Amino acid sequence: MAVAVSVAGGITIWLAAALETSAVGASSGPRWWPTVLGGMLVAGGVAIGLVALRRPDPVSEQRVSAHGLGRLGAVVAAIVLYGLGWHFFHFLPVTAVFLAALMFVTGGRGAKALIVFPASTAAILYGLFGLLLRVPL
Amino acid sequence: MSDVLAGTTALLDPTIGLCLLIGVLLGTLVGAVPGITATMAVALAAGFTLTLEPLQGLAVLLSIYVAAQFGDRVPAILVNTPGTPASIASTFDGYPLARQGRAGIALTSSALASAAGALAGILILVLAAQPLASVALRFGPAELFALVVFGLTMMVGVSGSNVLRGLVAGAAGLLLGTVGRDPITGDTRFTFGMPELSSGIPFIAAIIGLFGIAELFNQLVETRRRNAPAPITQLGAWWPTRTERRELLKPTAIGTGVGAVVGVVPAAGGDIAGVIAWAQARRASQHPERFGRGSLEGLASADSASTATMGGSVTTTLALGVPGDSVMAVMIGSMIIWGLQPGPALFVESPDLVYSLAAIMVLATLLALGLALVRMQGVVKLLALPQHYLSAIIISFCIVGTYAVQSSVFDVALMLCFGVLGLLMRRFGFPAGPMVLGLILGPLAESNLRRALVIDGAGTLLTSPIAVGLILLSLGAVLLPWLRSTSKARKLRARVPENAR
Amino acid sequence: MTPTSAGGATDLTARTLATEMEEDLGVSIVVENRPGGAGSVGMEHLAGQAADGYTIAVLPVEVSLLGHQGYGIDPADYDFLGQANSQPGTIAVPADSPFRTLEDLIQAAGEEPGSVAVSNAGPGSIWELGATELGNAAGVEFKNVPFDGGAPAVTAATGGQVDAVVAGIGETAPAHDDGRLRVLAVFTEDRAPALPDVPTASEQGHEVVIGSWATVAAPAGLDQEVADALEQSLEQAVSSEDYVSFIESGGNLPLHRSAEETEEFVNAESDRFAELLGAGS
Repeated sequence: MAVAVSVAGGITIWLAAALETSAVGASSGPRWWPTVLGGMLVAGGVAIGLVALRRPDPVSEQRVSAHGLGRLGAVVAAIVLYGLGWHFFHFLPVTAVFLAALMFVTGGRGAKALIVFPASTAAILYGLFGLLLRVPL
Repeated sequence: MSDVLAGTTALLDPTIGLCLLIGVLLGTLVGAVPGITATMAVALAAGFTLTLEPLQGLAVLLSIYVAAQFGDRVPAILVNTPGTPASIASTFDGYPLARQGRAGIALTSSALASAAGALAGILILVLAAQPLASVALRFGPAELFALVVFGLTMMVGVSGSNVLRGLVAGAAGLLLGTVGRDPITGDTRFTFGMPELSSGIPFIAAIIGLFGIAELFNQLVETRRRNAPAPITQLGAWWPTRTERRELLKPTAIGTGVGAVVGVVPAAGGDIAGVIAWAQARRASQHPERFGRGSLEGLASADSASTATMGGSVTTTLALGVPGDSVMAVMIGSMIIWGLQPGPALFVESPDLVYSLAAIMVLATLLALGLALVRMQGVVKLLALPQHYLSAIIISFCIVGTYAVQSSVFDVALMLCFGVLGLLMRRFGFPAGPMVLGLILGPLAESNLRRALVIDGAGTLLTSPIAVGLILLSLGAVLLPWLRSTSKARKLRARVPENAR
Repeated sequence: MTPTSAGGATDLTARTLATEMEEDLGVSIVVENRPGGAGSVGMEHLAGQAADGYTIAVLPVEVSLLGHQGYGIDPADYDFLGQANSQPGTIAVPADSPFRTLEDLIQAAGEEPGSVAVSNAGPGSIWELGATELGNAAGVEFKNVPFDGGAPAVTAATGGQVDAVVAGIGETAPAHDDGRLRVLAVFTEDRAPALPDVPTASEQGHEVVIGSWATVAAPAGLDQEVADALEQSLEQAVSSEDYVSFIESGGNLPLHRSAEETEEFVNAESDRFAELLGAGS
């Protein structure tokens, strides 16, 4: 846990440093607020690191499982592919395929899950957003 | 009195009832879908309602506005995703309640509290519109800055037990708020050459990502081979017991008060009010440790506050001609087209109109409340679906909803990034609330501070009574809990050695 | 298409025009909102569309402004079909202000440069430029205080937090009639119908003509026949009763210019803004 926290602290410090250097490009006014914030982040990161070293805190969340991580990865990949697919094809079929893929990855099986549900949900989304709200899909 | 009569009887026209119904249905739906905000819906409806008579059109627009405040609690409570920014604070206690199997009570209490807040806010509109409006006028940049600072100090309260991490998250949020154009000089900051970022980080995408998607990802990550984590299948009891009802009174009152005040201030809306009220109710509560873990009081205060802002916003809009929030900005446009000019003259020339509008809002509130209570049936059926259905629905609605805000795929990508960020934050114990607060309030704080400095130089903050008062309150908000906890700790330590002997 | 979000002035203009042109052309016209980046997202989108006459947009004054502010927007990327309205600029002070005429305000600014605070709708907005132009014409320096939009800027003036505000006539006229603000001058060549008793800046000795406007444009390279058809339809729409009453109810002018004139106008404005942006800051 301490490692994780130190990493977090380290990241914030790095961000703050990057921030201060890039902020130099702007004119005098806009610079000081982000700089102040960057400084605060650095201080905060250091403080967290120190506190963690002195008092290990209990982990309240359930442990992460490899299976779960795998699922997460699959879902994210599906979403990214969806985004690409949407760019090239029309909304309805792409969304239906995407939903089917999601269902599969998260454990759904059977025709109802893989065909009926994605198709109907995609239709509802289209109706709601595309037609009712006139959003250019 | 005759104005009141004239105002309310004007509503007896059945077409208005129809408009009310349509508006409430639309508003509830819109609120319930994350990504679609009331502002968007009202804006689109404004286009359609141009052809209607003023009162009919206003009935539709106002009821969308009101009903959205009821609809957005549903996803906030059930899936930790605020349906609109106004329900951010509702997720703090609403979602934990749902996870404890008490979603039913959460939803009902939320509806009741929201209705109470809305009605109280409307009452204020009717009674105290003009004096309140003149107070609003005195809120210049310096005062606004002080108010925002006060809101930011709520971050401390919102952080729960991890105050230090909460502050870091808050600072990170503030930093994210600086992305975009400098409010005074217009130079771009941290946009990395992407025009989509030049107006700042799209707010809705960030919220949906940090709250909704992160929660979803978190559930995914925790799944095991066989055992999917329990979705919220239990609604539990629906109607709060008498003791619970009594519990709700005080936080609702606090929420309403805060909401009405915040609503009157231009540019401050339900989201800020909800958070401030939540923190205040916690301070005044007998059981502060329950807040953030499933406290009905927390939920009630957050909900009543964000709906109470409506009355205040409408007040500012009608009395000053200045939009109280973004929805009102759209409505002003429509009102002008219908030949109604919001401003002090409105109260003099057509006072009955004001009463009509108030009555419309009251009716809309009642209708929305009814709808909220009735929707339980539908919600139960929805929750009976296995988890993978639900997550697929949530993901797809979030994606399309985020896209719909600005027709931008970039926003969706950003939502995903925030989802991952939110996940990481959760696993490392960083609360997401302060980050969102920082994101919303940061730009407001900075722009108003710099503006105040430009106008009058460094002394402005100290010359305005409102500003000074608010800053003192903020200091108090930060110091008091710290003082209290250190003195408690001291007392504890003094007691323990005695027991040990 | 409009490069703004739904419900704003540009959006409503677009929708009203679309309804009129729909009737005239007999085809369905769908209004799409593509907000973002102060309008640049929508404008860039239009520039990249096929010039077949099926995608047109309402382009407001920002088309001449953004190019000089770090966005990649160039009026040459568009074929202009006509101008649809004009929103003259005004300068107003709080009702209880000691400044009774424009001259008073200018004198105060001259005595103490930078002491007169003038609010506007945002950094780089047309109204901030208006204040700069007035300052240049009168040879004085104002303190520009940008806000997040027209409404907050006007409120700051009504509340007395700034000395004056430069905003569109649609935003100040109602407050003037109400007695909350006093409009000192209108930045047009002739007096504005919405405020007939307010002198123009030129009348008071300072030649300032500046305002916001909206045009309708298509991506460059439009077929001449298609362009003509659209132009005519637009002209008819702008003169239609519904449109005129809509625009005038906001206090603005349903001004129409032909496609050629509009193109000249847009380019002239663009050059003018370039100068102002370079000189003023």
